[in-house]
Amino acid sequence: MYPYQLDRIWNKLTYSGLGVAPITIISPEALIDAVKKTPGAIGYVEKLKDENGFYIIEIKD
Amino acid sequence: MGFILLKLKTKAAIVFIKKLLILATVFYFFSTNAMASEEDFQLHGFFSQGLIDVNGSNFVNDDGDLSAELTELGLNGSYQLSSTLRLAGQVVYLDGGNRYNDGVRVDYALLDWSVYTNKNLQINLYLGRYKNNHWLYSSTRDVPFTRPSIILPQSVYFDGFRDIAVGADGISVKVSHSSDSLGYFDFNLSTGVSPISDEQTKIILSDHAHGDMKHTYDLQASLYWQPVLSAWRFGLALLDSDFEYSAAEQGDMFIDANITLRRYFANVLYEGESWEFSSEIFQERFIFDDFYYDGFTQDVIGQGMYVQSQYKVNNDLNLLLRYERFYANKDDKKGHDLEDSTQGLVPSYFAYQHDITTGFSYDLAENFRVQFEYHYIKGTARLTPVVLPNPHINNSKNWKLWAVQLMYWF
Repeated sequence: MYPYQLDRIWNKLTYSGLGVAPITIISPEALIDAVKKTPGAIGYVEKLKDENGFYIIEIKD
Repeated sequence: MGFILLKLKTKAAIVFIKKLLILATVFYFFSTNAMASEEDFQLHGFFSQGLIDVNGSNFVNDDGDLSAELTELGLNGSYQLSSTLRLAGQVVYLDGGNRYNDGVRVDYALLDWSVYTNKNLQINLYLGRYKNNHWLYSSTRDVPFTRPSIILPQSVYFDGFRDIAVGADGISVKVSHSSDSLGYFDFNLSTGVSPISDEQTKIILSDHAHGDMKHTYDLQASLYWQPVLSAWRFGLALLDSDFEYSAAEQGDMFIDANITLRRYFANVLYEGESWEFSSEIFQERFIFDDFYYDGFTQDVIGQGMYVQSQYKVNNDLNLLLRYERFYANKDDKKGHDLEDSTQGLVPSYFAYQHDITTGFSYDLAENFRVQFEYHYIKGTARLTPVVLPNPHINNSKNWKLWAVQLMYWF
């Protein structure tokens, strides 16, 4: 899936009332922090320094 | 148990998302239902303003001058009541000149009930004013940055029918199913009715229709299928709707009437890395009883289709090319019968409308875009009023338009 497809799906959800798009986070560090602080949160990042407090799913090609 | 997906902003995020398949996903799972209140409420919106110039028809205005009647504004909110219930609503202001009624309207206002969710199946029920989610661009036809062009293909997304086709007050169901072997399925079913304003009545029937038009019945369904890991998606859609016209007691040129509209669609979408391709093809049956005189009946089958390609030159620039055909009556494609039956009052070119469109969009900054397009159009079958057309002002078989629009969203 390409980034524009994800944007398209989320825009459709947000502007048609069908659902809720992900909350936008400014930086990878802030994303990791937000995932840690938010119960039930999912996020994806390139690298993770500290693996404590997360369940990790690695996706390989 | 609810979950919240967090998405990264900035261009760098795009690279991250792209690497989604090969890189790490961080997964944080909490066995509690609690959610922070700031995540419960979301506010989004869009602003857009454009210029449109139509030469040779009254699609936008009667005088043919350059027009700023291309405004689309919207503000929406979503509030999560519980893990399965959510309230959502959007208010829009639209101005499209003659294309549709201008003004503020409640675009959608609904209760979203997440009836059932598991790994492979998700069922949602929407109660209230819902959007038409059945065609490729129907649910966000007024949201500028979500559509391929400023003016959508009029064969399918006829602006004269906008207020009726855009959604309805009633109930809508969405069932999403994913199968590891068969792929991804989406099924939508909706039934409801749309309020029809006096303006809209005139847009559909004629300026001389002073009575009330009511939308009495509407059933729509659609099914989408995307094979496993495929860039292609295929869809089918159906529409069945009934209308009643009650003539004004005094001064109405027409009498009470019943109108039925049925449409059958097939569509295809290809989303590649740089190239996109989409097409919708449909047949519609338009049945008209009484109206002119007691016992009058008109039953015609119209046909329309478009094929469209988009090419992403880079992250910011997107090119568009589209070819579209529409026939109001498949048994009178050249319009000779139409012209003969009206003693030449309605010219033959009111029987069809074919459009070649080219354009581009360019992202000036994040969530800030400019879009431009040019249309060359042959025929006037998708101009309003629909039932009693206006050949006096639309006296040209070929017409053109260009439009430019600036848009911002958050």
